Amino acid sequence: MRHTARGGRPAIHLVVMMVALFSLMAGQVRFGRWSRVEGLLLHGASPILRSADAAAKELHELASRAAGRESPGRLRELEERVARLEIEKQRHREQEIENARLRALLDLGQSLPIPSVAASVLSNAVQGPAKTCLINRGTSAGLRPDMAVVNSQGVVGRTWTVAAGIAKVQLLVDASSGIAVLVQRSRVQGVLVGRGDHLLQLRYVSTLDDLEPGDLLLTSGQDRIYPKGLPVGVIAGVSESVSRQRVVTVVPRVDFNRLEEVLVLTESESSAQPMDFDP
Amino acid sequence: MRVVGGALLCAGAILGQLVLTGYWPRSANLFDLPLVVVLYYALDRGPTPGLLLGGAVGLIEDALTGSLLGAGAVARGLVGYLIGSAGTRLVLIGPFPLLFLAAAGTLLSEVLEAATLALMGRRLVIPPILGLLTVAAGNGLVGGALLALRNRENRP
Repeated sequence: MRHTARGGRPAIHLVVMMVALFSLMAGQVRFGRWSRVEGLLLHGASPILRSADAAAKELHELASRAAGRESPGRLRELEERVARLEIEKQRHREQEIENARLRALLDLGQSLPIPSVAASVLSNAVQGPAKTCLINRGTSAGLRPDMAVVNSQGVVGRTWTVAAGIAKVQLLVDASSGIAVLVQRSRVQGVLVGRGDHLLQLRYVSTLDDLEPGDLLLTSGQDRIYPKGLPVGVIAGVSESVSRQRVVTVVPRVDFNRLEEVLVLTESESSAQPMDFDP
Repeated sequence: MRVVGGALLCAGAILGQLVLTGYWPRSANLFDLPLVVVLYYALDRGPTPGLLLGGAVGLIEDALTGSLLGAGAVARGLVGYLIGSAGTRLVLIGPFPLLFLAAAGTLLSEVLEAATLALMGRRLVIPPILGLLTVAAGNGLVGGALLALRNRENRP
């Protein structure tokens, strides 16, 4: 490498930066989220996000166009036609799937007794330590932090940091996420927390509570973020830990790897009414 | 001028990763472009620029995807500093030491981020080992190749 230790005293720079960053984190932990700082950063980075989203879509478009342009002579011509038709067919199928998805979302939006705002997912970070996604709606669409986010499968999470035209959503599977739930069959209540992987864990239930694998969990409305009656997940396993505590593993209803469109419920205070979610 | 260059590099790395994951979502499991850029920059420029770029990249990533603003910045900044320091002290010739440094930097960054979050009272989430090793190997390959190319260009 061509450099030496440039820039004066690197160790002092390190100490100054670490003190600043730890103060920033301690401030967030002590006084709650610094949504203004986060919101400013999010707002500043939103042009990068929008450009990235547009560029990725353009790349997809170019790739599908390029797929229909090779091979020589008549055969090539025929192959081109077949390829174009295949692409066309694929596009129609994609449009059909998208239509179905949007129709489900629209039906859900109409069936929900709560005002909602539809949003598209810009980026989905389910791989990192924090499980979040970014959506293309923000304060300008009436969004605020701590609003429930759902799709046709069930609860997705809640809005976390909201800036103009963009918002960060904390997904249910995030390690610091929590949601008040009840078991549909036995009406047992508990708190469902994210484990930081793709599963959830039901807490604050006793060993005597009636819980079985396959039981559907719904929001109980106790947390005042999620309205009562939204499907959240299904119990996958019930076991006991060494300390004789009940360990209830839950599989979320929503496939977080395939999030594309969501609904943000702009009012949370609402009682249970039957809602039409996908089976 | 250096600040502008660093800011452009930072924005470019994040934009590149977002475009790549938008076009090919599985690439997020294979390598982490912003971290590769931090490692490359730190080895090329030294500990302080590595620390600053790592901190800036981490802070933006925290704002976009993180749960605690600053946790990723601590991890990326420290890794930039340590890798930059290693670059000033070690003679790195050939692709293998560079590949090793890039992979080690990736593992260190993930461990530091999880530890920082735990230190600040968040639940300790141990990242899946296989996924971590895959990203480390991917970053090692991409970063090692970039640095080896750079070394070849700089050779008299």
